[in-house]
This record gives sequence, structure tokens and C-alpha cells, in this order.
Amino acid sequence: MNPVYKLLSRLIDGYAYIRDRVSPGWSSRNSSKIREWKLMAYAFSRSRIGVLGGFIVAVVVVLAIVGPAISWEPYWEYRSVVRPELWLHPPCLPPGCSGLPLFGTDEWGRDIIAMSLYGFRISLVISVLVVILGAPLGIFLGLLSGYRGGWVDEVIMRLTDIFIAFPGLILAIAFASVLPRRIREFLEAYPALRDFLSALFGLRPQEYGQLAALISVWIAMVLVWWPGYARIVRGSVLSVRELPFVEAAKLLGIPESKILLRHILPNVLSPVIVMMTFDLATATLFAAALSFLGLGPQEPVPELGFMISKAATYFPERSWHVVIYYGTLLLFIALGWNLLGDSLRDILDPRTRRAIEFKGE
Amino acid sequence: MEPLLRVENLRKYFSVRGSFTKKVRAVDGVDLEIYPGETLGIVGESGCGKTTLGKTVLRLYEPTSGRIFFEGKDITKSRGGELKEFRRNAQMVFQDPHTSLNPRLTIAETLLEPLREHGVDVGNAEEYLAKQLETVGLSSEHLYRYPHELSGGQKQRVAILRAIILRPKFVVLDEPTSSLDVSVQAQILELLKQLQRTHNLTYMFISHDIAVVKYMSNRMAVMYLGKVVEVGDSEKVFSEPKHPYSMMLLSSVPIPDPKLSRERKRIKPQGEPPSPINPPPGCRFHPRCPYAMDVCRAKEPPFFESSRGHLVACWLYSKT
Amino acid sequence: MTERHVLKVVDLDVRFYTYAGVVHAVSGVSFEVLEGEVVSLVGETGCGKTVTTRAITRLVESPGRIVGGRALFRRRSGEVVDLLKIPDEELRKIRGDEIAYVFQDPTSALDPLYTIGAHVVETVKAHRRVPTKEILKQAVKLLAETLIPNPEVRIRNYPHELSGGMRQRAVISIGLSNRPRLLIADEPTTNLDVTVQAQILDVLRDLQSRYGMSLILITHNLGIVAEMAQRVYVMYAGKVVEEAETEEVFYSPEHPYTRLLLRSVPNPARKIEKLESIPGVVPSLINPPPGCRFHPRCPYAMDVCRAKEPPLVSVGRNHRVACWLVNRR
Repeated sequence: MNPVYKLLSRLIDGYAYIRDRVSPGWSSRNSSKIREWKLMAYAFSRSRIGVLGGFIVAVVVVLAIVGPAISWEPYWEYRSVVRPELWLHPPCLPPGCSGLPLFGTDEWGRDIIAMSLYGFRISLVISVLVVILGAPLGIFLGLLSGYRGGWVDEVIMRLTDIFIAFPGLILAIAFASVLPRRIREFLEAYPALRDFLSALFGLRPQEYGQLAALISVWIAMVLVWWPGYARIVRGSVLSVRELPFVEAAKLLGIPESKILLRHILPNVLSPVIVMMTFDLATATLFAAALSFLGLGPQEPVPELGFMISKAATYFPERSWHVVIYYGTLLLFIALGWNLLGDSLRDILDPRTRRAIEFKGE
Repeated sequence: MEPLLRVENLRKYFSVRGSFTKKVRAVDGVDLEIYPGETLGIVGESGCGKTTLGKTVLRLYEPTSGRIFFEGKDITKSRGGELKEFRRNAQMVFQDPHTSLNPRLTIAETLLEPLREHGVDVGNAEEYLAKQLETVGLSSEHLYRYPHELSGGQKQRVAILRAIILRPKFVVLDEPTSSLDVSVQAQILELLKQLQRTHNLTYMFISHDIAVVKYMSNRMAVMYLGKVVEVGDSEKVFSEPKHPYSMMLLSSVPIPDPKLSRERKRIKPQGEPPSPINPPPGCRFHPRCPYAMDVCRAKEPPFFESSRGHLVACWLYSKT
Repeated sequence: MTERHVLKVVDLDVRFYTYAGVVHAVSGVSFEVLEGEVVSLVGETGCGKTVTTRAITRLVESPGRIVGGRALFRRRSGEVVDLLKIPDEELRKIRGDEIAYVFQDPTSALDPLYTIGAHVVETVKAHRRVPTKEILKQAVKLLAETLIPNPEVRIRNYPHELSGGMRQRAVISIGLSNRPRLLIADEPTTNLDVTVQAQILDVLRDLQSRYGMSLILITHNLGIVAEMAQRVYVMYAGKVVEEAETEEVFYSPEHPYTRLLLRSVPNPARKIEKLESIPGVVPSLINPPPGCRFHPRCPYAMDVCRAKEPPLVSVGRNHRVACWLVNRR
């Protein structure tokens, strides 16, 4: 029994215990579900890339959540104005330089490690928001398209084709030039919303202008993201809807909406979950790329892609440490999600899950 | 006695992909009656339309033309409340138990769904379902399991229970034991017979396994290329088939008895099964029939009564 | 191993090492096939009949492993080899040439990108040096023997242009293209219509007698066994429980499983009958029950059955049974 499995197993047992306290008998009623979870946990724990990916993702998520709170430097202070020696200071190790940031500073003289703690939050939130909105939209349209067939299918698929053909970059540029102003006015009208969103991204409410840029990037990304889900779901729905248990449900008089929700959707979700995991990686990189091109938030928001962009002017002589550091962070975030997604894909497919061989005595 | 289910000139055509005019004539003019309490067996080979017939009769497919009468009422075009009422009374058990249950729902959830949908009040659901499970040879321990944790035979029992849980009058059984092991098959067939007695059910038993159909049915209908060519008492149809196709079909059934198998007279099949897209004119079987006459090539034969209750669609039995 | 033996399998043991445990798929199975004989392995899903016949030519893939036993095969040359021990290259020469297989699903046995003719050419060229034109001429003859109409046309067809029955006949032709000594047919007609099945069984019988080929027919359909086989091995849970000549098995079965099996299958030639079912389910082979593997379902189980595995003992001419009921005499 490996330690990862032990840990996950304890977590599952703990969850079952809590559910039991709330409604007694829950464990016995759901013993099959619990067994299935443990089997998935076992399969996951046996996959080295899965565990590695899971670990990286866990670290990223934790840093994203607590980052802005524990960061030892606020991102809005232009330090190098006061202390010019802090401008793009390269990394240095003690005892050579005391009182200077370990990995160096950026243009504003801010500790790049401290800034990355904000950066994690921004990247995670935006990638999660994109997937959380894009996926359900795509799933809904995919369900409808695959189940109904006929002209509904044609219309939705042509719509999907149009959006897929659309270069996301152009759309983002278009949105970035038009939307931020409108969004800014909107946020001014609804300060509660402004405060909430700012807190979500780990920013101060004062930066709502940059927030508007973030949101416009987000909207552009959602529009480009949903078609992938629609297509993948439609494909799965086409095969699931022919299965006898769907016919049986029809025969029992179950209405179409309930069939879609109870019978079709749960059986097409596995590829979607895997896709969502991979998309979190892609969305992180895409958002960083858009910021790099200047379409996202500007100073002082320390978005990872934007930081690289700013450092580009002095690359490679003065700002190599900034580029390498933030580049590596992006690499790790994407890597973590990708490894996790790879492993999830094997776990969620019931066939590959059971085909794990072990050598007996 | 009034038939429980009657179909009149029932047709179901499917469009061929990529063509506007070509159609697969799966069911092409079937007239049948099923009486309360009996089991009518439907046999035939692939492409004969027996599964399509079963599904069309239940309105799972919409009929292309023809009429369906249930308990005397024309339900061919029923919708809404009327259709739901029919659904409560007519159900189906599918062939493959591994795909006829939603793998994401527990047995309890699968069985509760029809009850909830039709507003049946069962009091304490857990107790009620446990009792129901016992009637099909399962127990309460299976309530919260997932289908993949059950064997093929157990899954099929759940599927049967789901079909009868609304207390229907009529059940179509589409190859209910074809995917099961031989030893399990006998268990399920016995269960089906027993349930028929307890709940006064009427069955339409569709199968390519003619030995099983003969065992289960009172009457048997032989289908070929979308039409019924012979129907009558099961025992009679099997031992003295009248239609040339029936003769060919039934003599090909392997008999688990070496001596009888050797003694049996085999009528060798001629030719290849034709396509249901372009059935031959006149009697559909004439290209392969050793007794084909001129009239067979020209006109489709109606049913002739060869003996009481035994109908044959073949010009050989015309009285003239 | 006498002169009349084509194949003699002794104490075959095959295990699968899975996440759930070690599956004892085949445990100490022995059987033999004589020249020109039709032998049937009968049993339900999971009894090990398919694994047994694949193991003979080492067609078992991980996580399965052949753990023990011998598969003695008499080659055309007269030489007797142990198929489980000979080097890979020698085995490859035997497969497709002296031993051929026909599996249940003809569609997956055929490569959709190649014509039927191309399949035959490939099979022949793997073992002999014959010019392609010659092979194709022979192929047309082979297809005709399996009663495929218009064989000259069919040679040039792709698998999807043939119906299921024709595909299976094509597969048989391909299998026979090198005139094998032994043909192993695993549920060859299960997916086919009854009339097509009858035609294919006729073809198999005809070819088998014409070429003096031996045939191992694996099936769960007792009707086919009654029609085709000369000798029968009844398998249950990875072991042979009864072996005898066909009529003996059907008319004087000794093993309780065989008896129950025969009574659970509807015989349409008899008028009214009640089917008897075998209670319980096929056991999991991960931890086979101790003693006789059938004892949990056997209506005659005694204490000794639960404790010790019964060996195969002779109860008559060519008739052996593994059951303590019989062993007491």
C-alpha cells in the first residue's frame, strides 16, 4: 500500500464518516460508490505521472489561494523609485547580498518571488473561470446537438465551426480594444461586484481598470473555448443515445430533459473532465500569451505573462532572471495540469483502469 | 376472445443514408394478433424485421404506416397522456443486459425512476424495492450496487424487474437470453414463465434461437424480409412447417441429440438472403424457393389457413 | 502419443496475473485429437476452452502466462514437437501452415484494407514459395469449396463487400489455404444466422473429410456438438470434467454438470419439456473453491467433494469423468 493511496483512502473514509453523521446509513447505501472511488484512488496512486502532476497542481492551488495574503511585498509599490539599486537587480545568494530578494527584482524593484504569489492567483482564477463557463456552455450545446440531430444538430455544428475557425487572438484583440471601457463603466456602477471580483483575483479594488482588461480577455477566451466541448460531447452523445438503457428510459415514458440529464450527461462526462484538466493548462498559457501581447492587465498587476512582456525590453542582459523565473512557473503550472489530465484519462476510462497488472507471488 | 394487441398492415421503413428514395423496408405489411395471457414467438433471421417489429409495436419507432390496436383502442398516433398510459401497460426487455442498464445509476435508482415518473406511491421505497427484488430472485443487498458489480444473469433480472415494475399487461422480450450463458438462460426463462403466471402477462418473445422460442411460446410466427410467412401453434409450426422458408429455416436448427440430428431431414438453404432494400416482386421468397410457380413471381400471397389457427402465406396452400 | 495422434495436450496450466488476483484460467487440462477427427470442447463462458486452444500455439498475451504442460504436435514430416517449448521461429512456421484458426468474429479476422485474394496470398507466401498467380487460382477454388457464389469476383472484393456468412467462409478458406493438419474453430457460427450456420457446418464437415484434416470445434451450443463432433470434452471452470464419444455424452452423461447442462438446453425435437436450471453462477477463478470446482452448484455434493479434487477416471470405453460419485465404484 503506497502512501499516496493511504492518504487518499483516509480522505475518502473521512468524507464517508462525515456523510454518515449527517444522514446515518449513508456509507452502507453508497458502499459501491466508495469502493469505486478507492479503486480510482488506487489507480491514481499507481500512476507516477499522475501523482507528480497532482502534487504540482496541489502546490500551485495552495499558493494561488494563500498567495496574495502571505506575499511579503504589495504589488502596487514602485520601489525602484525610492531605491534605484533595486531596479532589475539580478538574483543573489547570501552572504553576498543581505536584505536583497533571492531571485532578484523586476522593473519596479519588486521581489519577483513575492510578485509571483499574486501571479498564481490571477492565472489560476482566470483559467478556472474560462473552463467553468466555457465547458457548460459547450456541454449544453453538444448535448442538444447530439441528441436531437436533424437541423438542430446542423445549426449548432455550423455555429461551432464558425467559432473554431475564428482566430482567438484576433477576437481577443478586438475585445480588448472595445470592451474594457464598457466593463469599467459597469464596474463603477456596481461597486460590490467590483470589490468581489477584485478580491477574487487578489487585487485591490483600485485596479478595477486592469480588472476590466482581465474580464475582457476572459470573455474572449470563453467564446473561443466552448466549441471544443460541444464537439467532444456531441460525439459521445451520438454513441450513448443508441444504447439500450436510453431506449428503455424512453419506453418508460421518461421525458427528454430527464433523459439528457440523468442518462446521457453522466455517461459523456469522462472525456469532458479530462479535457477540462488539459484546458486549464492551455487556458493559463493562453491568458499569459494575451497578457504578453498587452491585451490583458497592465501595471501594476503582476500577471505572469505580462511580467515577461515587460522584461522583454531588457532581455537578455538585465532581465534574464525575470523571464526565466516566470517562464518556468508557467511551465510548471501547465505541466502539472497536463500530467494530471493524462493520468485522469487513464483512470476515468473503466477499461484501462482495470487493466493494471500486478505480479503475484 | 379479443386480442390484447393487434397490428394491421404495419410498416416501418428506414431511409438509407445518402439517398432520398431508397428505403430499408424492415417491416413491410404485418398483420398479427396477440391474445391475453399467451406468448407469441417471433422467429426469423437477420434482416427479417423481428426486432423492428417489437420496437414499432411499442411505439419506440414511429410506424411508417398501418395501425396498432391495444385493448381495442387505436394507439398508433397517441400522444401525451394517452401515450404515457400505453407505456405503463406495454414494456420491453432488451437483449444485452450489459448495456440496458445505466452504468451510472444504482439498481435502486434505476428501479425508482419509472415509479416516480408515473407517480406510483410505494411508501417506504427501500422496503418496497427489496421485496420486488426478491420476486426476481435477487435481494436487498443488490439495491445499492452498480450494474457492473452484477453478473449478466443478475443484470437481466433487474432489467426484467424494471419492465414489470409498473405492472404492465404486455411485455416484448427481445432476445432476453441470447447474451447469457447456457446455464443462466434456463434460470431466466423459468423466471419469465413464472412471472407470466403471477402477473398475468402477455409476451411477444423475439429470438433467433428457435429452440428457445418454441419452448417459451404457445404460438410462433416466422418472419422473412419484413413479412410474416407462417403463424400457428408452436409445436405444429416446428414439427410440420408449411411454408417453404419455414421448412428451410426450421430444419437448419441444430438439435442437441445426435441420433435425432442425424435422422432429421434437412432442407438445404439455397441462395443468399436478399436485401430488405429491394425485395423481390411477388412472393419475397420465390428466388430461393424450390417450389416457386409463376403466380409466386407475380403476386404476393395472402394468408391461407392450412389448418385451424395455422396460417401460411404461400400460393401452395391456396384453395383454388 | 501414437501414430494416429495429431495433437496431444498434457496438463496444460494457464494463469492470468491481474490487479484483482491470479486467475487460474486453465488448470491441468489434457486432451487429444486424432487424425481426421472432429473433437469438440464444450463449456460456458469462462470455462477455459478458448484460452486452452490459444495456449497451444502460445497465443496467450500478458497478463496471461502459460505456467505448465505440454502440447505435442505431430508435424507433416512425422516429427513430434512440443509447441510450448519449440523456438519462436519454428512455431511461426507451424502457425498458419499446419495449424489454422477460425475465430468467432469474421469481421475482425479480416483486414479491411486488403482484398480476400490478398489475404490468401499473404497466408500462403508466409510459408511457401508459390507465384501469386498460382495462389490466386487456388484461392478461387478454395472459395468455391466453401460454397461462396462467384468466387472469381469475390477474390477481388474487400471484406466490407461481403455479408457476415460469406466473410466467415472467406476466413475458413484463408485458413485452409495451406492445407493445415489441424483446424481450430472457436465459436465459428455464433454470430451467424441459423441457415448460414448450417451451410458453414456443412462446409467444415465436407472439407474436413476431403482433406483428412482434424478439427477442434469450440462451442457452447450443444446442438452443433451433436451434429458435428465425434468426441466431446466438457469443460467447467478451467478443467475437463467429462470426456467421451458424442453419443455417450448425450445419452449416458455421468458428471452432474453435464447432466444438468443437457437438461437446461431446450430440445425442439421433443414435445413438452421443462427446462432445468443449474443453480448458482460460474465461480470466479481467482480463488477457485477447494475440492471439486463444481461442488457449490452440485446437487449431489458430498463431503469429499468439498475437500479433494476428483481425478479423471475411466467409466467405459473412451469415457472419463472427474467426479467422486463415479469414483467410488
